[in-house]
Amino acid sequence: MGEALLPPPAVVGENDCVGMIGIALPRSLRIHASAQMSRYLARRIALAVLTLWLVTLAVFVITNILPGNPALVRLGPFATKESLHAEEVRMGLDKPLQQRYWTFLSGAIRGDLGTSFKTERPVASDLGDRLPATFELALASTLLACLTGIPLGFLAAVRRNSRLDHLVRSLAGFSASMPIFWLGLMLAFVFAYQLRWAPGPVGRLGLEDTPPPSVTGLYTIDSLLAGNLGLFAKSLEYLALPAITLAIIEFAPIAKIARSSMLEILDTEYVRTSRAMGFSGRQIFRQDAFRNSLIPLLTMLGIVLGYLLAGNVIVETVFSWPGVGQYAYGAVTSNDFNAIQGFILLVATVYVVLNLAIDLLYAVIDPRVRLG
Amino acid sequence: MAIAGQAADVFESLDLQSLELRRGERLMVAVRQNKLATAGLVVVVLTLALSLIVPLFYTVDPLATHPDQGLQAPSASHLLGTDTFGRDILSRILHAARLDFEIAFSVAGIALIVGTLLGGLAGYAGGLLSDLVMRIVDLMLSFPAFILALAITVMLGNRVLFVIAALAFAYTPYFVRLTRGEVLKLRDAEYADAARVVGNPPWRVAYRHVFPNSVAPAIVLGSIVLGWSILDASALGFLGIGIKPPTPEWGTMVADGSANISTGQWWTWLFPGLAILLVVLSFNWVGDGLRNFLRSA
Repeated sequence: MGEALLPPPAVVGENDCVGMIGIALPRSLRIHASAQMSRYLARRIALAVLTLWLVTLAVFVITNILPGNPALVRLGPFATKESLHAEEVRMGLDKPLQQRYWTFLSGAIRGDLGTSFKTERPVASDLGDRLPATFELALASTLLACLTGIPLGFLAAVRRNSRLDHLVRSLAGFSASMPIFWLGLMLAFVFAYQLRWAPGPVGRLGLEDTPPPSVTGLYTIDSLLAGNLGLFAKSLEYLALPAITLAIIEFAPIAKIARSSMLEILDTEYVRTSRAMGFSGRQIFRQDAFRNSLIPLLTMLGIVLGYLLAGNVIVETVFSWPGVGQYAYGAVTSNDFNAIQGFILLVATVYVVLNLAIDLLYAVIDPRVRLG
Repeated sequence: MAIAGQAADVFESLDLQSLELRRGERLMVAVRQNKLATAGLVVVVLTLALSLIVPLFYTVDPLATHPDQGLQAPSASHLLGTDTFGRDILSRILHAARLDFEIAFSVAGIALIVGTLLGGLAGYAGGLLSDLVMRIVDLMLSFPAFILALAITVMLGNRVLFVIAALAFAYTPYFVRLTRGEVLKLRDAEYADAARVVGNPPWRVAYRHVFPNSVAPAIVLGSIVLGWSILDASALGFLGIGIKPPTPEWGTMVADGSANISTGQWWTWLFPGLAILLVVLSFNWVGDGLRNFLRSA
């Protein structure tokens, strides 16, 4: 009931007892398990492909069938009939719907997302260039949020109704109610402009800095690979404020789910049994509680990471971070339709792939999934 | 800026069930035990009242520009200062409150009504149509609501009505899924069986017994969605695709004020953002309290 809105976490089969103790399975059963596993894999991948196809359909509907003529939006309300028609032909809007959808779909499969009206470059390569910046920000903020949220959530559960529990819950409450753009402005105002601890919101590096030679595209890692510690420190400074902004927002759901899943587990019969058998709190945590709490946490992490792509649009705009979110903002404000479509498809693809990866991780963590 | 999973802890329990109390007494206990929820309710009502009453005698025009009085710090004549165009920020925040509440209540109301109806039908009727509805819901839930609303608003154009439509559309699936789950559970509850056994027709069992009891969680979610839609509408406004200036809206005001961040006029963006935080926090507290109360009732 508690996870009413979450995807069903794990299929609980009849062989519940194969749970966490890690019983070594007989050989025949293991082969059986791997056949089960590949069937599970195949089903999940088919579902992911189906979802992606439906998303292309939805994107197409939003941009082509909803009232609102892209050519008109692009040219503005004072366009003449002739120029409007010319623009419609140029954008391919005069062709029948099925044909337009087919062009769009076959292009998207080949990785061709059309050309951006604004940058006049292929949308796919625009997005590709900007992905590492977004990835670096997402990675740093999620790491921060997990490193604070999970231990604090666990601790709050273990010491239920203590002062720490109340503190964690009110922190989470505040972080869930915070307008993210305002939070970013506050942090920039206090730490960049007043205290001058961090550089201003001008992007990944200052104008005078040269980015490190690109290997991964992540400035922090590339500068380390190049052995340039000064540049590493600098890129960390620029990364700090946007990453903290996103991490504060991510903290709420992560800490809450860590707390509630731990509470649920501490209330189960197997934990009570372990207690009765005289295991210490630490042993119970290691043997029973930790691994079992990972499934809801993983589910939540998938949702949070997907959400990050939305949060990024705002945070990257506030901090002039040159990632895909800022690109989407530019596309939205200049009615750059191909770029908007490309961004939405990217978000959907990342989301679907993330959820697929997480479902597969369930199977690794929880034997019931691959055996069930 | 809602994260779907936050709803995960919408249903935590409070041990009020065990107390044998009348509804009124339970309400009092709930109020006493939920100081935050009460505080939240007070803030929401107070903000709503202020936004309706204060403009009657605090008659500073929120749209009137005074280029000679631009960027004045908070003072006796302008309690919260003025923005770049010399407009009074307090007056703009109060007027914006009306708009933001209007958006929030419309979005949550539409999503709640459409979502619970669809979810109730899907849960009770089952069958092919129900499967179809649920597949669409799953698809929509597998996509960040904010991006969905953003795409729709961009396509339709930035008018208040379209912002409401886009957000309501993006939030409806949450209610569908929640209510369907609830109906599926209650359809086979003992009291529903009992109602059937004594000869009630199916529609009456659904209408009198199952449906009213499965709406409670949706109402809790509704109060949370009130907060989410304010966050989302103001985020759209901040990005310049929500409410068109010069209409006062909290997110748009923060965006306008953000230009002053490097020159130190903090009051232009701090106060509207604070208003968002306060109201959203209050809605969330009310939601928490409501959940506890409904759990006990």
